Amino acid sequence: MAPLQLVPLISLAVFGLITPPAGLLRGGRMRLRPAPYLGILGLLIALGSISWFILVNYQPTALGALRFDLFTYFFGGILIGTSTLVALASLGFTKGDPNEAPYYGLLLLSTLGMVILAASQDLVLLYVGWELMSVPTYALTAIKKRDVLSNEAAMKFFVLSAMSSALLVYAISLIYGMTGSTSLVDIRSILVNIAVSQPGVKPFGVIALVLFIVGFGVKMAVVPFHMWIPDAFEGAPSTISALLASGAKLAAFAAAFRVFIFGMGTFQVDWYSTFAILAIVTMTLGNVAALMQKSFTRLLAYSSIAQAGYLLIALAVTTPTNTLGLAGAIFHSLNYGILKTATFVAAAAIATKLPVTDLTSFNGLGKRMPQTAFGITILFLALAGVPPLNGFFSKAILFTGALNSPFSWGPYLAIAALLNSGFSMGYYGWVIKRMYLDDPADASRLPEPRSYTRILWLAVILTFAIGIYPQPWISLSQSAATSLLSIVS
Amino acid sequence: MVAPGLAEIFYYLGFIVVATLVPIIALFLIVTPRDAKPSPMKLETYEAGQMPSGRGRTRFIIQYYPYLLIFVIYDVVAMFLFAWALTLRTLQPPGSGTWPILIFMGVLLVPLAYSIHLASQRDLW
Repeated sequence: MAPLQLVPLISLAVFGLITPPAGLLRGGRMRLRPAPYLGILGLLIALGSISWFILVNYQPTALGALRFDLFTYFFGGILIGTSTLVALASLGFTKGDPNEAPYYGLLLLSTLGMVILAASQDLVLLYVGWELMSVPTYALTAIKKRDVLSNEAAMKFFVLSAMSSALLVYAISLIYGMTGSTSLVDIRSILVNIAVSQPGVKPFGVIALVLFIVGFGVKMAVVPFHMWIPDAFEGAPSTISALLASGAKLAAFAAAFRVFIFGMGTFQVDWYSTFAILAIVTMTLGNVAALMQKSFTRLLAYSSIAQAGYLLIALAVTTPTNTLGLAGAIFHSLNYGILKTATFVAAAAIATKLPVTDLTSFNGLGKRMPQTAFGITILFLALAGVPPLNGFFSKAILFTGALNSPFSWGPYLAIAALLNSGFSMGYYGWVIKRMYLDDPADASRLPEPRSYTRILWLAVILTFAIGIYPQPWISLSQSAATSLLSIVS
Repeated sequence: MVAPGLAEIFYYLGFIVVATLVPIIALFLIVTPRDAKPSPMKLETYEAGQMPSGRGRTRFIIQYYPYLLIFVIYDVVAMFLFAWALTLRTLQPPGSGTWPILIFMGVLLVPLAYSIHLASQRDLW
């Protein structure tokens, strides 16, 4: 009897494999398209089984290299949830596309890679998950085969992402050479006293750390490695940008939390301040660059870089005694996943009628596309961290975690993050001002596709629901943070 | 959280300096002894001694290679079957490993049929 914990993974794998062939079952009297609905069914089964494991039958278990604790389930839920939103939003976008069925199949397989990435406690499996997540997204970015911009975006993304994979392999090989194991549990126990038992190998550990930071950083959109983000997000279809901005990035963060906080947490090197500097640089550059953008998708891309800076705070301040920052980051991942996916879906909705590469097309959008404009307003306010919405609470916990950290620079990090958070209101407010106060050149009402507005309303409701009653989510993410640091056999 | 000592910092700095110098020296060695005599022939596309004709990018006829790719991918399944065959006798209750492997093979056969279908469509390649 196969262990029940594997049900989400098996569901994603099986439905991901049978969805592309299902695209051939068409013609005749059948009006319903089977492939997208099969894909969505697979995602919903995975999401349902993960919620069942969290709510009803939670017991942390380790199955070989896979580890099913609350961290895995929580992040798995976020990742599968964002993919479900993307799949639902793509229903209108892929209609009539000959590559519709492979689109959903690749989406499911990429999601499977993300969940494996969040669940793996062995570096080899982590790499397999990394590749399984990345390779389908290259094809998805170029799914519009005849679109030059889409192809260019896919090429840039592919080259940089392949480089990051190579650096990850190099880091893994160095760690294996140091400790003789690829299991993070063993690495954790060996690294405790490696400075005493093998004093010569410490420099290799530092090089491995740097390579891990670069490798994960390319996907996490950390600043010196963020160059591909605006181009790729602008060229890719907006729904796939949503997947790259939320799913792929959060999965990379999950893996980074697992590797740095759990695996390397006992390594006696000051990597905390490195992450603090990276966090401040990332959020500042993301926000400043977002303010100067003329294109909406590029603005969203830079705002997602700034949000990555906030999430990096968790890597900088989390020690075995202070898990508040990690809890805040896990909660913020949930909010960020919902908000970022929905803003890109809004961009896709606008792109059906207006050029999203130009911010002037947002003038008077409150009258032309009222539902989309309202959705963008709420989501932007939540991303900036306005109190009754969900972004406020996760940011508050994250910044409190920085304040409570044992490091002397903790308060400065919190102040930098607060200032950036206020600064980000500048460009979010600018777009909102354009939508409601500026007069458009053409004030005609535009149709809003239902497949996009459905997702926007769902995201707005979730934003309010989590924001008004955040207590269960906060306690859940706190238990997830402590479960990351405990050892499960 | 131990602050790195001065010696250690010099160790890393040395690493960075050497890693920067090696490519610079290598480039320098390439550039200096070279005889710079540009001619139009040097800028032409290299086509193994022939006079170059046509563009560099052409459509490549893939012929039967899709089937080879499918074989390479599905060859890995044999490894899973081998692992299953080794543990089959020890599984309890006896015969409980039969249905899972049949379902596994069934799930994998559907994409195989699909990929063979794709391989036979010439206009895709």
